[in-house]
Amino acid sequence: MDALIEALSQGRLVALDYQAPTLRYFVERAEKGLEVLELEATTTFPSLARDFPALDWFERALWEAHGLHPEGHPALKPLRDHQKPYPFDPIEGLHEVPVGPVHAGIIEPGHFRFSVLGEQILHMEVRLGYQHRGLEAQMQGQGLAQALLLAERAGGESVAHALALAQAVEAAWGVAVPPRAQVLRRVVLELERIFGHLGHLAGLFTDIGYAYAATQVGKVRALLQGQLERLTGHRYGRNAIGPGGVYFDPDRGTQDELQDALHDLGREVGAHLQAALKHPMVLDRMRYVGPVSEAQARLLGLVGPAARASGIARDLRQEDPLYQPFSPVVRSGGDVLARAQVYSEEVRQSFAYLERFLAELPSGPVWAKEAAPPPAAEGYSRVEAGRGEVFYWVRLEGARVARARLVDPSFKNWRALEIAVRGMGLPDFPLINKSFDLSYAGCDL
Amino acid sequence: MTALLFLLIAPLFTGSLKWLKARLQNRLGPDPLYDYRNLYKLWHKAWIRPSPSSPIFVWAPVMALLGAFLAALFLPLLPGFSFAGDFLVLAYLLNLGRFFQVLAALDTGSAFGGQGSYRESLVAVLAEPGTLLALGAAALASSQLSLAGLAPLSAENLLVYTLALVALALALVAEGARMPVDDPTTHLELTMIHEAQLLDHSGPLLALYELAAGLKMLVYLGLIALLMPLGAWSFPLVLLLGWLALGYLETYGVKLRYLRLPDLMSYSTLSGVLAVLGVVLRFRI
Repeated sequence: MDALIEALSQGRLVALDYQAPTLRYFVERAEKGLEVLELEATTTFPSLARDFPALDWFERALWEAHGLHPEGHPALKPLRDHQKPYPFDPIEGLHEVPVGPVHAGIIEPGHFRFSVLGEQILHMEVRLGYQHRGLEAQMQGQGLAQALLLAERAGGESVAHALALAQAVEAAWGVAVPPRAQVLRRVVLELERIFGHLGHLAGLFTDIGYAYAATQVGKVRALLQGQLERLTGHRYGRNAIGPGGVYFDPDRGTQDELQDALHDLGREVGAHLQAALKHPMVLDRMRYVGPVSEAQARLLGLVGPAARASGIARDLRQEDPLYQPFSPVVRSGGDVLARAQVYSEEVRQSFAYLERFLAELPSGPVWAKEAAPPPAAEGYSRVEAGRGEVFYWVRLEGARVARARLVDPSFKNWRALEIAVRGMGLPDFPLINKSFDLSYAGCDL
Repeated sequence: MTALLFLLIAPLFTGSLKWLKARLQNRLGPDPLYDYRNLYKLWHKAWIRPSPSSPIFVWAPVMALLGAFLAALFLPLLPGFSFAGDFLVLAYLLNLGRFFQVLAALDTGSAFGGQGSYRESLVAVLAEPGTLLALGAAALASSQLSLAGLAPLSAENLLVYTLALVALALALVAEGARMPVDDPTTHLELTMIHEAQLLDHSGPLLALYELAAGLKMLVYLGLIALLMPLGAWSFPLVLLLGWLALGYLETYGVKLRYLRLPDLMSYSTLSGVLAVLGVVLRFRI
């Protein structure tokens, strides 16, 4: 217990898993890497959410799924289950504005409850779970092909999820993936990151009414998805990655065409973004809006661009040998502008890595040698997706998934929105929300 | 006569504006005549009324259109009604339509209706002084209290009229719920001003509202045209300039933060005040 508290106060919670009778905390510390700390629990366990808000939703999810009671949890309410009563905490004397779960645009369902004083938001509570499909339970007992199919539909980032699952399986089986497949995986991962980030940026420009920039950035995004389709046969890169390798192998011609196309698209969107993020009215709309301080970001355990925009220099690609040398894009301030700058700068960075990967693409096979899977094995992996860290842990029995645990980055970042909107104007909420651009489905699983 | 003409061309103005914006953004865009078809489509659709609402909900779109139509009657671009002080009647006929629109939005009982109502009321309060002071200054400078008697822009009244035109142009974007005051294309309810009031209106009721909004913009452009020195060419020219300016603003401009609106609208009021002072103190350039 003391070791756990020490680890949590120095590090960041990656995942929480329960297999009766053991609770397993996956905690990342700067000098020690990822550790697994265990705690025995049968019906109750001590809640740490009061001191470590990053644990809040994890403990609630555990309580909901296993009936395990977190003792001393500050606000124990359902997370994904809509059958149980859900008490909002209204603030006496303030007007409440309910928004959602059905929104006017074509976006995912989620409910936001605002307590406002005039146009100022004093408090906001997010309620999700409308897209809970029981993905982890559905994966149990499935073959790997079916599990991959589910993983690719878990959240907004198909490639990152497929890659994380494939790597977890490879870690369990001790499979070595050939170098060409390794690099090709990074190529699709970076393509996904770029079109995801461009989607966030186009959304930000739409929300402030800057139609020109939104259309131009959106155009490049669509063309990039076309390139992803040319490479993998799918506009979102689905069915591209499998345990042991990749399902696509570009010939020399495709590789050259892709290189040229990406070069042009990178220059085009770079020029648009540079101009747009200097527009004085854009700066006026984004600067000082929706701030998350570094201390808050650490406390909530934020990941990905949201954390890096608040000054936390952490990116899982720092440890990936294929990316060396790598320095994460970091901004301070944590406002909408900082997040937009991180997206924009990471787009540039990813284009540079794509150029390198395609220029130095090794030749050779794209699949590992077939071997009979061991009767039982378990492994985990983490991948830096566009929105942050995707975590997969699997226990395999032969080629079947006996148990799977996955954490989408959005699950860790949703609470940041509640903090970021405090004191902001109600009309600025959509912009702040878009600056995180979190996946509802990935959170609900 | 002017009112009938405006009623006919309002959908052309709003529809072609959508086309222009699309072209400026490198998109193909809708047919410039799209808004006629949209009105036809809406007119033939069924409509629903929120259960807690009163008949005001149904009458508000009628009043909004009627207010804008009656206001257009007083614009002497083509022969029409005219009497001393008619510009006051015009301004408040437009506000009568808005009054009902605000009531109807409150009537729905939805959070967004109420939010749209108070925001629209604020914008109206901010835009009103600029409009009235500008028209008043122009009337004073022309020694005539009717719109028909307004003298066109000349070297004599250049300063006063320029200030009045600034005030009216700012009032146009605020009253017409256009950028940078309001984004007519947004789907985000929390940022809406004008559109938030129309969320519960459907079918023919929505068609009336859309027509009224287009008509209202034309009335403001008509007011600007009255101050122009080109006679019969004034209105077509102002229409074209307004069309281009709005298309440009809504493509390359960024919507203002809602809490910054008073800053923008204070320029409208200030220009109106300076215009009146200009007449009273006989400024000349």
